[in-house]
Amino acid sequence: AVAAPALCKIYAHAVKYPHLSVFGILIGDQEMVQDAVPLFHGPFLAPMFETAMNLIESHYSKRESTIIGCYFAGELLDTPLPSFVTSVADKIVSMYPQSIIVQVNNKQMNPLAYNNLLTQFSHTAKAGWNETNKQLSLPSDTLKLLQNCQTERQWETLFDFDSHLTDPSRNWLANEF
Amino acid sequence: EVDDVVRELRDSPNSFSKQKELLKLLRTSKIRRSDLVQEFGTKMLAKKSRLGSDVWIVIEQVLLARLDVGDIEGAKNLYFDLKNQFGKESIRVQTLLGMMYEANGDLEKARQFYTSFHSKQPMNQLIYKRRVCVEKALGNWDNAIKLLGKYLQIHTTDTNAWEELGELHVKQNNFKEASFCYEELVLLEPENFLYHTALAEVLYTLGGVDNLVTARNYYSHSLVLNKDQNLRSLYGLHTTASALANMKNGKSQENAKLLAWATSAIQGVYKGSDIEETVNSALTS
Repeated sequence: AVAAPALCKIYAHAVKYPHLSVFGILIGDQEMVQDAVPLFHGPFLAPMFETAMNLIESHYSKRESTIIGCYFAGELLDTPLPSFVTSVADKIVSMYPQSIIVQVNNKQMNPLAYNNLLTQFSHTAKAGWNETNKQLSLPSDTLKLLQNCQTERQWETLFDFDSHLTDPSRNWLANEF
Repeated sequence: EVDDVVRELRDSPNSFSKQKELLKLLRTSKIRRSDLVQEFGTKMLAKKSRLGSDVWIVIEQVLLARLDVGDIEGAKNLYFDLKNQFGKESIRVQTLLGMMYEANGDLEKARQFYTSFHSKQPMNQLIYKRRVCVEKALGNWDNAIKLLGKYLQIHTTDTNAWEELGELHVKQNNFKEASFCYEELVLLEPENFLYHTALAEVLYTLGGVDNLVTARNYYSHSLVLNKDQNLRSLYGLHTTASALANMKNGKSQENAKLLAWATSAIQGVYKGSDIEETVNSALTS
């Protein structure tokens, strides 16, 4: 299941950069993706990924929840999960074995299509990453949440790690919605 | 900066001078905020006479923004304005027609359009680049790479194109080829700290002691060029020196010094911030 804060941040991140791929980390436990930390827009490399992971681990070390995977929205309307995402996810799952990938289906960005917005991928040692859940359970007021995101232009106050690197005053670890 | 002007505009949304300032800022910085250009550019075009000679630049800017946000009909109207003013022979106007095909999703049509156009104007950079864009839009990354490579054999100093090719290679996990692109960029613009950082990032990703030492050097040089607004390089230097400190042939006094310097510099950036503690414990873990 996906909770409201995670849903809204993933959605806002994707909406904010429609011409780029976006990537972030998921926070939660086995039952629930509680939150999302937006990291990058556009292609990214090892140094900043490792840095961001260290900072996230440090930030959440005193809290109950932990890293539970990553999310990704491709830059094209129709993107199969790219190999660089699965490589990065392989690294995450080696440290956090219950990790999942949540992919945003770009053709379903209209709030009315929310049932098909997200697809979950899970990992097995034998078969790698495979689609496990095309209809992740979402909050009951998802339609309203997504519509609010649009009307209130929530993406304007969402800052990812890339943005933070350009302007350190932007708090990427505590996007409040 | 853009955020500041936008904030001012939300307070006084009909201020013509602020609208003009925003659109100019977006043109020069090349930041892609088509939603803003559409919103405020449209208001400006309602008062065309106040734009003077800038009117055509603004029309083109709003046209492209409308394509970006999916208002193809609105873009078409502006296209006709430009066509009437500059004629169908204008390459710039023709390119906009091609982009309208692209925005409409008629990618095959756009591809044929640009290819035939290109054969008549083989030196035209704009048309060549649109051909690369069509390949990207189709998800043909390798074709895009090939085309862009050919373009760069002719236009060898086009830094934007080298940046684009570097990014495409990164997307395809071709890190060696990406490093070559960023090396070209460092040669073309040795004072540009961003290029040094980009090269360092790719070298670190390639891995191995030699690449990491080189990466460390490029991060350091980037920080020499830009000490105060270069957090990416600070983190990069820290990450690289930390990794080297844990590698058999990576340890050295120089490395330890750089690691200590980077750590303290980063701590300085976050002094008094909400996440100061988080950063400090991550740095020393």
